[in-house]
Amino acid sequence: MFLCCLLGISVPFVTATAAEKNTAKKTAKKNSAAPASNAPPVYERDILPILKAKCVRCHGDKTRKGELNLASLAGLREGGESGAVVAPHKVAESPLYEQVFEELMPPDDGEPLSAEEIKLIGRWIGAGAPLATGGFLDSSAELKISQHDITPILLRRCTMCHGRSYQDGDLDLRTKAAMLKGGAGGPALVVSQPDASPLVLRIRSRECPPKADLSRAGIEPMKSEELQTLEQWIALGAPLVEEPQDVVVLESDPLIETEERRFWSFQPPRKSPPPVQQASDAAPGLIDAFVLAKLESAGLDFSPPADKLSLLRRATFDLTGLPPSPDEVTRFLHNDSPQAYARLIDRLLASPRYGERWGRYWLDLAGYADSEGKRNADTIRPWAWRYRDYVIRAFNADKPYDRFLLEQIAGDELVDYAAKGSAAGNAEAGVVPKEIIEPLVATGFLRMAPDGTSANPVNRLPDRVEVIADEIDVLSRGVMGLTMKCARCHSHKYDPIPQRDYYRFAALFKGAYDEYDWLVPQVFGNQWDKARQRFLNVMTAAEKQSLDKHNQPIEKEIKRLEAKLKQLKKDTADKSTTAKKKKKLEKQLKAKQAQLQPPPQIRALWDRGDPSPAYLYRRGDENQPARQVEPAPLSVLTTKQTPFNIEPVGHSTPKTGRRLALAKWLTQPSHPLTARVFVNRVWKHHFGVGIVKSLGDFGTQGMAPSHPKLLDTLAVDFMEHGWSIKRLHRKMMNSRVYRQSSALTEKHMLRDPENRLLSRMPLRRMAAEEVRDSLLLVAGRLNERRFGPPDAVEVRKDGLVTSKAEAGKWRRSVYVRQRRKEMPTILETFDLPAMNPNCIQRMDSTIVSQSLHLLNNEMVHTLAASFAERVRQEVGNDPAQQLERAWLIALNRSPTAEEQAAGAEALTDLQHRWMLELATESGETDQTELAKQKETASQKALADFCHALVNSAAFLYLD
Amino acid sequence: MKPHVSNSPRTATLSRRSFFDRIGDGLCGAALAQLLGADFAGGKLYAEEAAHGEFSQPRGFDLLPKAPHFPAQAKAVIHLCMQGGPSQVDLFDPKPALTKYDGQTPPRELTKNAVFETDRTGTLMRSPFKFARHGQSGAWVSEALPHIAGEVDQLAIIRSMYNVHPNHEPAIYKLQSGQTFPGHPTLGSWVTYGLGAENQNLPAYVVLADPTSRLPTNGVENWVSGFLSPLYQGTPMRTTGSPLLNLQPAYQEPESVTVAKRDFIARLDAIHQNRRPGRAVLSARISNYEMAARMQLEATQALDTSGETPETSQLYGIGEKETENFGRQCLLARRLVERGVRFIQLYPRGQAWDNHNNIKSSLASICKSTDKPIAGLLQDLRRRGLLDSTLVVWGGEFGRLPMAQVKSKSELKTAGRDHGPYGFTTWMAGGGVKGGTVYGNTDELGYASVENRVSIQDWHATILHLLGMNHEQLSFARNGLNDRLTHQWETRVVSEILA
Repeated sequence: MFLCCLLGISVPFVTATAAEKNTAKKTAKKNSAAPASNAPPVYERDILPILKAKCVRCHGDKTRKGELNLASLAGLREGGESGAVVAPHKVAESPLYEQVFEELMPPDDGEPLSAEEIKLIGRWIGAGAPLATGGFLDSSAELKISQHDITPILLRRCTMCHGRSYQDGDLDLRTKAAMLKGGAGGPALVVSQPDASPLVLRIRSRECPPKADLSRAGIEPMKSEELQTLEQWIALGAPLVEEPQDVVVLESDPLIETEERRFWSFQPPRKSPPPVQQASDAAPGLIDAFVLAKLESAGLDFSPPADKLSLLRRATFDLTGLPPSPDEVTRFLHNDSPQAYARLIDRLLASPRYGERWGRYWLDLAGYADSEGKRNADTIRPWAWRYRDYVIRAFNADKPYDRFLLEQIAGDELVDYAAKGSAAGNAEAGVVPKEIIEPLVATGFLRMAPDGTSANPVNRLPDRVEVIADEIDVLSRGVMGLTMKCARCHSHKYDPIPQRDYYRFAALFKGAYDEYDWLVPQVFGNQWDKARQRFLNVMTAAEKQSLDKHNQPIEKEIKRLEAKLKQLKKDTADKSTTAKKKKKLEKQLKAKQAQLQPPPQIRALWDRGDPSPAYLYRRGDENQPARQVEPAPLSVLTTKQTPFNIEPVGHSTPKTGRRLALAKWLTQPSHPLTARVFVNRVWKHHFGVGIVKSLGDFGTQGMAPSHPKLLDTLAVDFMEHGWSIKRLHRKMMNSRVYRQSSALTEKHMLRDPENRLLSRMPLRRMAAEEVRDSLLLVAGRLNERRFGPPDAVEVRKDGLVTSKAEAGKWRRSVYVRQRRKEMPTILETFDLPAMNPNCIQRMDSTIVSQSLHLLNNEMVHTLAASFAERVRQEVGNDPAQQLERAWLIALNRSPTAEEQAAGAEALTDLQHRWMLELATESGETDQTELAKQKETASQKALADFCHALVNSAAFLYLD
Repeated sequence: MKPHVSNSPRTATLSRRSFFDRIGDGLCGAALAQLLGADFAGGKLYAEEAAHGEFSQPRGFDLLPKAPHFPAQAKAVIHLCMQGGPSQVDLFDPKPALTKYDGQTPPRELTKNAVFETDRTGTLMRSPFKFARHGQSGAWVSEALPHIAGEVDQLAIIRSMYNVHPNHEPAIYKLQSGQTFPGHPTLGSWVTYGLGAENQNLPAYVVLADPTSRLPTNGVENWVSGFLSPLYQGTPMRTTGSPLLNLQPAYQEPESVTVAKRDFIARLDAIHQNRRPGRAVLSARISNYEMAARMQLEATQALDTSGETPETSQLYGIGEKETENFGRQCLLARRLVERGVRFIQLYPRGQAWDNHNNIKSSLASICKSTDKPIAGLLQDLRRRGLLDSTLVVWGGEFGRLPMAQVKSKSELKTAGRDHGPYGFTTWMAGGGVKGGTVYGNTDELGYASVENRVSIQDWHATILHLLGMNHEQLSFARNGLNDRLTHQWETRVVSEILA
C-alpha cells in the first residue's frame, strides 16, 4: 500500500532528464518477450529464460559474481553476498528488480533487459514469485532454523563465559552436544521444549548474561528476536543441518573471472633480459640498462654523476638517516680507489645506524606506537618497544625478508615456547632459549593497531572487529599492496576481491584474533575479571637470572619488613608509637615493592587453537553473520603455482597453523606481490618515487609501473638471492641511476617533468627524524644508546612537546616515546605521520611552522650553541677555520667561494654587532674587560652563525 | 598560454623565455599577468642568466596580492569544514513526508539515484528536531541551530548539493580538490594561488583544527597544494596553548643580531637556490623564512585574543564548555580575516557530524558546539563591516540518509543516519551572497537532490566567482593539460544565490 502511494507521488522528484532517458531507452528496446496474458508469470516458463539469457554469464554456475547464481532455483533462493535478491510480493524491495529496473545490471558490456522483461520480473515478484509446480519461491525456506542460526547468537551473547576459555558452571554452549551434556546444573537444553530448557529460562529471567558483566565484558543482552529464534529452534527439535562447506577452490573459482586474473600484478614476476642499449658505454648494470632504455627513447640520457661529496651525503643519509662525520668526509674525498664508493655503501650498511633508519620505514608500515589510542587517555602501551627493537635488529642483521615476514606473521607458530611449563597468559614465567623469544616479539607486528578494547565502553564486538580490520589493512596494503578494506562490506568494486575472501582472510587470524574470545591489550581499571591480556611471560635464562639478581635481595627485604610489620601488629605497647612505627614500616615496604622489577613480557600474538567459526558478515555488520567461511588467502592470488596448505602445528599447546600457512604462502617465490611490493618500497626510499607510485595499491586503481620489467626482474633477483635487503640496497645504490646529479635542466623539465623516467635524482628534504637526529649529531649531543624502553617526553603548557634529555644528550627519534597524542613537536612539524592505523607513504609539507621551529625553538637554539662549541673545540678561534669546519660538520663539504665570502662577512658582522651590544650594556671598560667582551662576542657570533647554518636550505635539503 | 612543446626543431633550442613560460605558464589569467608585470618583464633576469651561463631561477610563484579576473566583493573565505556529513533533514531541509512515513520502508522509486550500496537496513525516520521559519526570508531551520536560525537572512542555503562518493575519504577529497583521490590542489590552494595574500606577514591560507583531534580525516591532504607550489599549502594553527608554536624566539637575542642572522640565512638560501633552478619547493621555503621573520609581530597580535572584550568572547561562546573550542577557532578566524588572511579553514572535533548513532543526542551535541560560535562569527563580522568582503561557507562532504540506521528494531530510539551523498545542504554568507535565499530542492523525503542540482564543481566555481575568478581561467599547465579546480567537469556558477 505504501508503495502505491509513493509511486503516486514519486514522479515529481525524479529528474526530468533521467526519467526521459529511461523511458526513451525502454521504448526503443520494446521488441523481445511475449506480451503476457493476465495469468501471473511463473519462474520456469517466464523468468528462468530471461535470467539465462541476460544474467548467468556472470551469475551462473561457473562465474558467480557477488556469490549469486541465477542459473538454478536453488541459487536464486540462496541469494548473493548481500542476502536474498527476491522478496516475494515486495517488488521495490527486491534487489533483482531494482538492479535491472535502474539499469545497473547487466553492466555496460552486457545486453540490457527489455522493458517487457523488466515488467515481467516485477509482475512475477508482485505475484509472490510463483513456481510452475504450484509453490512459491521461498515457501519452504522460511521456517528452516538450524544450529547455523543459533551458534552465532550464542557466540555473541554467551560463549565468553560458556565457551572455549571459560566454562562457567562447567557449561559449554558452543555445540548442541555440549548443551545437551550441560553443566553442573544438568542439561542446558531440553529438545522440543523451550519452556523447559534452562538455557531459555535463564535468558528470559535475565539471569544471563549476568547484569554485572554486561558493561565490563562488553556483552550485550540477547535481543528478543534472537531469543525467539533460539526458542523456535529448540521447539523444532533443535535440528542440526549439514550446511554445504565453504570449499576453497583455487582453480576456477566462480567468484572470479579468468579475465580478472590476468591483471599484471596478479602474475608471478618474471625476469627479463636487460634491454640492449643503442648508445651504451661498457655493459651497464641491470637497473641502468632498463632505465637508460626508457631515457633514450625519450631523447634523454643519464644526468652527469653527482659530485663525490653530494653522493657521500646522499648515501649516508639514505642508509643511516644521519650526516657523515668530518673524518668520513675527508677520507672519502681523498680515496681515489675505484672501489671507494662501493666500500662506502658496505660500510654504511654495516653501521648500526642503518637499522634505525630503515627499521623506521617498517615501523611506519606496521603502525608502531607506544600507546593504545582510541581513548582520550591514550594509555601507554608497555613492552611495545621490544617489537621496535626487533625490527631494528632484523634490518641490521639483514634478516632475509621472507624470514622477517614469517616471524612477524606467524612467529608463535614457528616455536614451541610452551614446551617446558606453561607460559601463556598470566601464568608463572617460563624460561626458554633466546631463539624462541625473537619470533614471539616479532608477532608484535600484528598488535600495533589503535586498540581501546582493554575495557568498556570500547570493548564491544564492533570495537574488536575494528581492530582486526585495521590489522588486515596493515598487512594487505603494506605487505601485499592491495586494498582489502572495501571487501569488508561488499565485494571490492574494482579489484577481484569478493567479500567472501575478506572473511576467509580474517579467518586466518581467528586462532589469535577471535572476536568471540578476546584477549585485551592490557590491565585497565574497571576491567572484566575474566579479561586475559596479550602478554606472553617467557624469558631467557639470562633475563631470569638478572631479574632474580635484582629482585631476590629486595624480596628478602620485603619479607623481613612484612614480618616486622606483623610483629608490630602483635605488639601491645604504646599505641601512638606503634602507629607511627607502623606507618614508617608501611612506607618502607611500599618503597621496596616499587623497586621490584617486573618480569619482561612480550606483547605477542599467539594462536590458541580451536577458534570460533568464521562468518561472512553481511554488509560488514557483525550482527548479521551469513554463511560460514574457511580460512584461506585471496583467491585471485592463489593458483597451482602458489598453493596454500594449512598444516596443524604439533606443539605443546594447540595451534591451528593458519597464519604459518599464510606466511609461507606469502613468501613463495611465485607469489605475485610480496617481493614486488617490497622491492618497490625500497626503490621509493632511494629514488623518491616508486616504480609503482602507489606503494600500497598494486590493484586496478593503483598506478601502473613506470618500469614494469625492471620491477619484475629486481623482484625475482631479490628472491633468488635469499631475499637479502642489504644486497638490494647495494644493487640500487651502486647503479648509475642512483649516482646521478640531482640538477634540473630545461631538457628535464620538457621531457621528464615529473621524473618518472629517472633522468636525475630527486632533491629531497630531510625526513622528520633526520632533521632532529642530525641537529643532535652536529651539536655533538646525540646519545647513541640503542634499544630499550622509549624516552619520555615533556609537554609544555602551550602545547610544545619535547623529549627529555639524559645527561644533556638525547637519543635518536626512533627511541622517543611514540605516544599518539603527544608526539614531539619538531617531528610533527616536519611531517611525522599519525598512525591511524599505519602510514604507507609519508607526505611532505612546506609550511612556515617549520621555519619558525628551526628559528625560534629553544632546543634548536641550544643545539646550535653546542654545535658552535664543538667547532671551537675542534679548530680553535680562527674564524676562517671555524667557517670551514662548521661547513664540514653540517653540510659535509667546504664552502664554495660565494658561500665562503658570505660566511666570513656574516661572522664578522655578527661579532661586530655583539660587540656593540655588549659595549652598550657595560659602558666604559678597560682592556681586559674589552678582551673578555671580544671573546664573548666571538662565541656568540659563532653560535648564531651555526644557528643560521642549520636553518639553511643547504642543511635541510639533500641533493 | 600554451606550452611550446612540439616535435619541431624549435623544441631543441627552446628559448629561455619560453622555458619560463613553461614553468610559469601554470600561472594563467590573473596570476600570470601579475607575474609578467612583476618579474619577467624587467631585464634583470637576463643579466643574471648570462652570468651563470645556465638558465636562471624563475621566481614563478609568490603570495603577492593579485587582481582577480573581474571585480568582486569577497576578498577572503572562511570555510567551515563540517566533516562527517551534517544531516540535512534534521537541520535545514524539513521533510513533512518523513514524519508521515516514519517507520516505513523507503520506496525504491525514491532511492533511484542511489548508485552505491549503503546500509539500507533502516526504515524512514522522522527528524527528532522541530523546524520553524525564521527571519524575514522565512527560511526553515531546525531547533538544533537556534543561533544560526537568527542569522538566516544572511544565508544563501543550497539544499540541492550532491557528492559522488558515499565514503568519507573520497568524498572529502572531492570536496576539497574536485577529485576523489589525493594529489590535487585544494580549494584554498587554488584561491591563494589565484589571488595571493593581502597580508605578507601572515600565511595566506590558515587551518584551524580542533585541539582535541590532531588531524581531521584525510589529515594534511585537506590543505595540501598538490601540483601547485607548496607556497599555497594551508598552515595549521592550534587553538589551545599557543596557536602557533615557536612564534617567538624562546631565547633572548638583540634585534640587530637577529636581523643579521636572518640576512645570512637568506643569503645562503639565495646561493643555494641559484644553483638549483626550477625547484618550487626551495622558493616556497625561502618565502616561509621571509614570512617567519615578518610574522613575529603581526601573528602575535593576530593570535592574541586577550584584548577582546568579554562581550565579544561571549558572543562566540568562549567560556562555555561546549562552545569554548570552536568559539576560539571562530574568533581567531575573524582576527585573521581582519588582517588580510585569504583563506581560513575551520574543523570542529573529528567527524562529529558523522552521526551513525543516536542522531538525537549526537547531532544535538555537535550543533551545540558550533551553533553559537558560527552565529557569533557572522554577527561580529557584520558589525565590523567585514561580512561584505568575507565569504563564509558552511558544509560537509555529504549529508545523511532520511532513513534510520539501526542494527535491530529495538534500537530505533537511539538510531542514527548513514551517509547520504545524493542530496545535502550547504550554505554561504557574506561577500556577494544573496542573503535569505533558499536554493534547490531534494525529493519529498530528502534523499536525493532533484531540483536545481548543485555539484561540488558548481559549488567550487561559485566560490571562485564570488572571489572574482573564473573557474576556467584559473588554471595550471601540467603534462600538456590545463588543470583546474573544476577539472573537465561540466560546471555552472550558481548565479541564483549571488547578490
